[in-house]
Amino acid sequence: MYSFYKEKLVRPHRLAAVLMLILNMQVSARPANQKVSLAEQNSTLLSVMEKISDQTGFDFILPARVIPFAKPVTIAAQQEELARVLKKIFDEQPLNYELREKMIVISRKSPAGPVKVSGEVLDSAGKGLNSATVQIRAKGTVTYSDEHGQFSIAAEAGDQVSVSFIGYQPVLFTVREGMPFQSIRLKPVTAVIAGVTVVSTGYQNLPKERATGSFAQLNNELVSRRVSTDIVSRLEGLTPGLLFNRNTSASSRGNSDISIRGTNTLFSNSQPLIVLDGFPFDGDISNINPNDIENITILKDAAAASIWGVRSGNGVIVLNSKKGKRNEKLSVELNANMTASAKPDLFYNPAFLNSSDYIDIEQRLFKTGFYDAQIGDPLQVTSPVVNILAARRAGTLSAEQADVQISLLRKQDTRRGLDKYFYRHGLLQQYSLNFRGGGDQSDYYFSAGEDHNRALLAGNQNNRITLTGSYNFYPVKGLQLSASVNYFQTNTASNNTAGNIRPGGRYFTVFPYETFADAAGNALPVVKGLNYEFARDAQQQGYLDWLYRPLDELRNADNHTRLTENRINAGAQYRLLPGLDLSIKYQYENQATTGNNYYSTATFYTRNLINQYAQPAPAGGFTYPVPNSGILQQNDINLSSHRARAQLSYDQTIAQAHRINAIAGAEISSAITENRSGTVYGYDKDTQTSFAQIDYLSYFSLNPSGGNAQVPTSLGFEKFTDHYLSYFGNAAYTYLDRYTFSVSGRIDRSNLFGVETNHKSVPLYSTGLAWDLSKEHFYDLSWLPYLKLRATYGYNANVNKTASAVTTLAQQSNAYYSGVPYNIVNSPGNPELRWEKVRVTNFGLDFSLKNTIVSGSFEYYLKKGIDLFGSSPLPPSTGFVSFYGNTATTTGHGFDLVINSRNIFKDHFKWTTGLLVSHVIDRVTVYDSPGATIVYLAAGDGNGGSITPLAGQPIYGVYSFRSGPLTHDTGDPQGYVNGSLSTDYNKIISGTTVADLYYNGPARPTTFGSLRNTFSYKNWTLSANLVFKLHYYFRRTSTALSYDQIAYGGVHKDYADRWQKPGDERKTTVPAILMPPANTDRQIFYQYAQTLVDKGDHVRLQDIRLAYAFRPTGKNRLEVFGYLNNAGILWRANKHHLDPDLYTGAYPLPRTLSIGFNSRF
Amino acid sequence: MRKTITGPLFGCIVCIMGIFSNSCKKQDDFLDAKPNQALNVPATLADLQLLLQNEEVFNSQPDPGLGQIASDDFLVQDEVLPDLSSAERNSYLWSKEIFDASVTQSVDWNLPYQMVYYANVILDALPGIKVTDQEKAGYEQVKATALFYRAWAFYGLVQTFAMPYDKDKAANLPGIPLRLSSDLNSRPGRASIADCYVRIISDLKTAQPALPERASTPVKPSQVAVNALLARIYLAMGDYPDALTYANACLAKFSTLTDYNTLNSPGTTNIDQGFLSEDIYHSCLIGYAVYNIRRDMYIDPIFYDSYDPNDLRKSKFFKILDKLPQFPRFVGSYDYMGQKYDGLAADEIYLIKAECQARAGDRDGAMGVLNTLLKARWKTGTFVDYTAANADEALLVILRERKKELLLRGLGWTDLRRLNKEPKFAVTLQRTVGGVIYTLPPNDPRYAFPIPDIEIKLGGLTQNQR
Repeated sequence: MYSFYKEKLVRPHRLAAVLMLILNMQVSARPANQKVSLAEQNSTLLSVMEKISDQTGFDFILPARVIPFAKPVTIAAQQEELARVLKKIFDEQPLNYELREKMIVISRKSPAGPVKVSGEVLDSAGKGLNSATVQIRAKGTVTYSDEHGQFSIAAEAGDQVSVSFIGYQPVLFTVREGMPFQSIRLKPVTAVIAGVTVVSTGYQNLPKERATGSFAQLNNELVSRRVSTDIVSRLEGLTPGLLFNRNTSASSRGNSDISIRGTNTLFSNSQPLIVLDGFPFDGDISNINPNDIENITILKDAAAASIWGVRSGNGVIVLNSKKGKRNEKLSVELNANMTASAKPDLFYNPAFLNSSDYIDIEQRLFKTGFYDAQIGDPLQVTSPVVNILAARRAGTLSAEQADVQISLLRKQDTRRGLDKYFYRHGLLQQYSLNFRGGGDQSDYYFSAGEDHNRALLAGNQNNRITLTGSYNFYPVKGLQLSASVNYFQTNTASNNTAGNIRPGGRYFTVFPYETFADAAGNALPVVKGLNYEFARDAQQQGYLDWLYRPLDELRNADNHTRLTENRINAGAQYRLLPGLDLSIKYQYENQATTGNNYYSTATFYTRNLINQYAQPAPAGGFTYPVPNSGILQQNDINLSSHRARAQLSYDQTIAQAHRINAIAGAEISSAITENRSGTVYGYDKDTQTSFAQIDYLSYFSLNPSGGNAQVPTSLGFEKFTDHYLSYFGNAAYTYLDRYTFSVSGRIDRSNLFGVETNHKSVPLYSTGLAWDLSKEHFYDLSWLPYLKLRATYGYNANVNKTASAVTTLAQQSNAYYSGVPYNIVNSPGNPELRWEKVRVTNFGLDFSLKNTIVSGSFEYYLKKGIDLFGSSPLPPSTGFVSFYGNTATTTGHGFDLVINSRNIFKDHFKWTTGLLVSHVIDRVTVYDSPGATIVYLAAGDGNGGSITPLAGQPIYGVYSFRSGPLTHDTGDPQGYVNGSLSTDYNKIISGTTVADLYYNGPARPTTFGSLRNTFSYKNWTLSANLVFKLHYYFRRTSTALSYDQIAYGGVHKDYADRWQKPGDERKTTVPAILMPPANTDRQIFYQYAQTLVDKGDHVRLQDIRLAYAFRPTGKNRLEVFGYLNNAGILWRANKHHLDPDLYTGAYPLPRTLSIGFNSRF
Repeated sequence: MRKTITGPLFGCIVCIMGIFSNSCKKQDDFLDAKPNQALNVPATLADLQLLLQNEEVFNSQPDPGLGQIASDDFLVQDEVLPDLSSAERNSYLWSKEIFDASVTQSVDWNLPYQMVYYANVILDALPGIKVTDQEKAGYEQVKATALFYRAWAFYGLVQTFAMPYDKDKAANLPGIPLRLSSDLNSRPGRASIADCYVRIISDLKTAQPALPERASTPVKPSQVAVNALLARIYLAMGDYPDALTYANACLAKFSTLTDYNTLNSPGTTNIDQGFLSEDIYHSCLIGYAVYNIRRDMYIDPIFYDSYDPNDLRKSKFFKILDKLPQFPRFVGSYDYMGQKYDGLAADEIYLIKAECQARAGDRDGAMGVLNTLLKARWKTGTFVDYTAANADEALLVILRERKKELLLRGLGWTDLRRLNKEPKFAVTLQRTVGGVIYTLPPNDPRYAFPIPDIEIKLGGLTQNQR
């Protein structure tokens, strides 16, 4: 006899039981016997009922939906009345039973009133966990916490609710009537720092366990680990696949130059997109106060980044600001720190020759008459030593006096003066205070930050104030209104003039014996731009003082820039239906930069200009086209952008097993940059007035050169407009929490390309799959409890503003002769323009060993750059030598390995390790316009900022001339002509085609990463980060090979190792130095010879951090720390003790030491 | 409560979606915004006029200059030869190869063609521009100006990269590619020398009526300039009657000669501080380094000494620097910005007229014209008229004075090419550098420079055999 019950069943034990229950609920009838005997200990109700049924012949109906509510049955009965037994059993159960004829019908006790349970899920640091699973155990109803960790679920009293989150121990609680707001703090499964397991794409937050794409995250602990005024540098050594290119000119100028998983473009912008709180950040990234940033997500592959469309090709860095939380008491965070920096080591630069050797060279050249044509010519710059020698020869200086002066100069070292006057210890102070909290209907976050940065270069400093306020208001259920305001102001002084001291003329390096002050500290003049004797005597000819005194320049410099940024956000989010949200966001950003570089009449710049333009008056004396008063150079940049977005989000679990998470929306943005610059003559700084009438049109004969020029005016206006209209969508479907399938697509339309192609609107898309293998029932590797596989495929893209679909003209001012405005052809039209695209295929594996002793991920990816902008040669008779269009392709592959391990977890002592290893190879596959041999030698490494592509080779490569040993008799370097050694440098250079060049290897590290060890004992934590960069090459500098070229600045300490006599070739590779005339071919050959290329591989101890936490757990915290940055190179492959991670001529980043505290209460 | 919120919110959604999708017109406007305000598409007559005002492209130094270096106007000191670019050095030594393997581009080839491209952009854009009746004249002038510039560029290229004009062979020898559109994809190949001259001359004649008789500034073409240029071209072709016709036509409207006695503000490279009054059309040679390096380029002292002491050109054209009389330096350019002037000036037209008259047997007419010119060059009151026994002698005198007057004006190379066709004027050029003697016999194939290899390869051209 069967009783049919169509019910949803939850019976997680055995498959057979489940199947049986699905089909029906049966109990067969046996002869009636109303006495029952039972001896059950924690048995299931079902089994007990089965036994009763067997003994009594009663059928029973136990609906599957009721089973979960049944409690284990413990009963002992010996031939007892059925009714009595049933009463005993069901007294203990939240169930009713009804004894009908031959049938027991079991139902739930009259349902308790629904209880709305709300609360928040926090991690051990008290931070909201996004997308924690909140499940009513019996019913299976699931909800997930929101981005603040908050949740709300409809339950009934008595329901058991489990709260779980991967990597954390689940928490169980029982629902009671009138439950207050639950604050649930999950403990990590282990004490290993768990990464932020919610990733943010800027459009949505995803639990990482359900993400298919390649994301890297930095939680607040990692964001706060380093000390810096900018946010970007905090990524270094902590982000897999992200490389800081320190050896480029951009880096040497202090701009951040980073690449995520290599390079995906040749000539377009190569820097990742920065997203702050959901919108691209247009302003200067260095203005964001890191103390306001909660966490960072880096989007690396197509599935992660393609939602950003045409700006996603270089990866995306998503910054999320700190926010308040609902129903949270006011908390105050106060962080302060101070960083002292050592002076840069000016004695590091090998391109220096000591004064004595240098003077020997000058004397030697002087004797040959080398300088004779220059001496006395007002336009020829000659060195102090040459001037002394000339004076001695002319008899205006006695031999003794000359010897005394020269021997004094021999003892000088200009680096001492530079070090003393132009460099100093850096000092950075950083303070930040924030308040946050929230009530039932609102939350808020306010912060104020102040940074004082005294730069290493004397005269330069940078101060920043940041103010932030954000407020969320929840007026009714389901509605969230948000507003935030950000204000930054940065004041920068750039008054250091160390870069201007070079003498000019043919000299490109400061004389090694130049001094800047006398014993009394008075500024001394140096040779600058003109013949020193002419400049010295210029005042006698009626000119203004024409001497350059570096110290006075430093003192008189007045170059200030003020940057102000305002950002206003407003938004609303409304729950239209359960799981379906509509949000609208708007952001206005305005950044105004005002630069004022004031040159008073005390500065050389002004005096020089006045003198150059002074026109002899017929009656004697001068007239002054450039008036004898201050000059103000102004430069204003104004950036303003509006961005708005409407987005529908859907996040729902359907029938328990199916989870859908989707967004779709549209976005509009407009960013306008306007630049204005101009020069004001006759400017009086005190009254801020200008009296001068300047003749900008006439040509004036310049003193003393005789050339003709107009009075320079930097008057300029520029306006750039970026308009985007974009549609985007992203959907992920997860089945049984095991299988996730994702798609995303985006269409961008912009004003960049001109009309035609732009409107074709090719969508960029991605798709991805993820499989949580460890959730499969057949999976039984208990040592590897978590194993997930991922694969994605899709397209990112890159914008290039330099080409256009139509022929464009650009208006210029001042035609060559008539000075009228005129047009140039800016670019020939290219109707076939397309976006640059990057196709990315990514395979990932996430794993965690038992107890997360070791956890991590491995990702392998393949990239293909398609339609990259590149030059193709044109027959020059077209009017152009090359065509700039979508002609190039690149390919690349690599992997990112992340391993976190808990090495020791014993009592109070913990030791954890984080290892990041990345490998990336980028290769040019198609490029039609190869450059000349010399271009690959000089710029193949791309460190100067431009790429010189060569099909079949890495994007950045070091090339050189094959070279042999020095010759025995003459110490000449040897290269190869037709395969045999030769010193015919002209033939070597002209005969070496690009294909014949020796390819040393890649110029960018192809394997790199970091190893971070963290030790903690009780309240102490010590961590140290090693950064390694492997398998790449760099070119050393060396000495010029002729005395005249050395004298003009081709100095290098290699001079000491020069070949001087036969046999020296056995111990040196530095060729013999020759007398002029310089053989430039010999010089060029040596400069780019194989012998001057070294391996760049090195391991650096990046930093050490020691912290003491007064209350390591709990809401109130106080952490005091010390932080040593740029600690030093531990190992390097090159034997010359060079830091390969430096741009030519740059100084190693000096060590810095910080102390500070972070507190929250 | 819920209703009251939903209403406005829904309104908002509709609004935003409306902005995104409904208003196509607005959307197009939004996406048509100029990315860079300084950029423009050539859409109006004013845009094209501004393009024609690009004096960098059209006037300051667009003209091929290798011929000037290869001609016998000046010498280079041995020591500085290695410092010159290979194209300069090879041209100076009349090498078979001019461009080293590593040199892929030649400004001599590229800059005139850049001028051609600019002119073609204008000529291509003109048909798409609607103009009112009042603008019609301006429209025609823009077109004529572009045609003039293109013809100028073609002429300079033909003088450099094709063999000299020879009536009998011109139809069968390769000239230069005649690019008549701005389409980067067209590959016109080399037209015959004859076709090149036909095109140049017909474009000039087409352009002439729409140009002003005299231009407001010599950087702009005019009817006078067209006549002057045609005189120069016919002279180069050896068509002396036509040359005389256009020289006369030019001088009828423009006969001003600058009296050198009035020059008083020389620069270090230039004869005066502004346009000379005899400047008809202003253009300059490519500024090769050989002109700029201090003291490296000099004038043969014998030639320098051939100027009469009362001849102001001796002091206005030359300077003895650093007490080195063996290296007279040329400082006589008509370009006040320091480039080497090779434009059209009245003195050249006087010399063309005189030469053509002499060749026509008009001794007196020829000598009269020459004397008019020279009088403006001599110290006031010192000039004594030159005389000649007959027309042939007059021609000799005129050619001698032509070289002295038009030194370093970019004309010597064409003159050599032209006069070598007449055995009595043919010369074998010779230089000794580092003890090695280099020669260039008359009518040598090296009188046409090789076309840069990149053009040969990508443009599918035949190379000049040298």
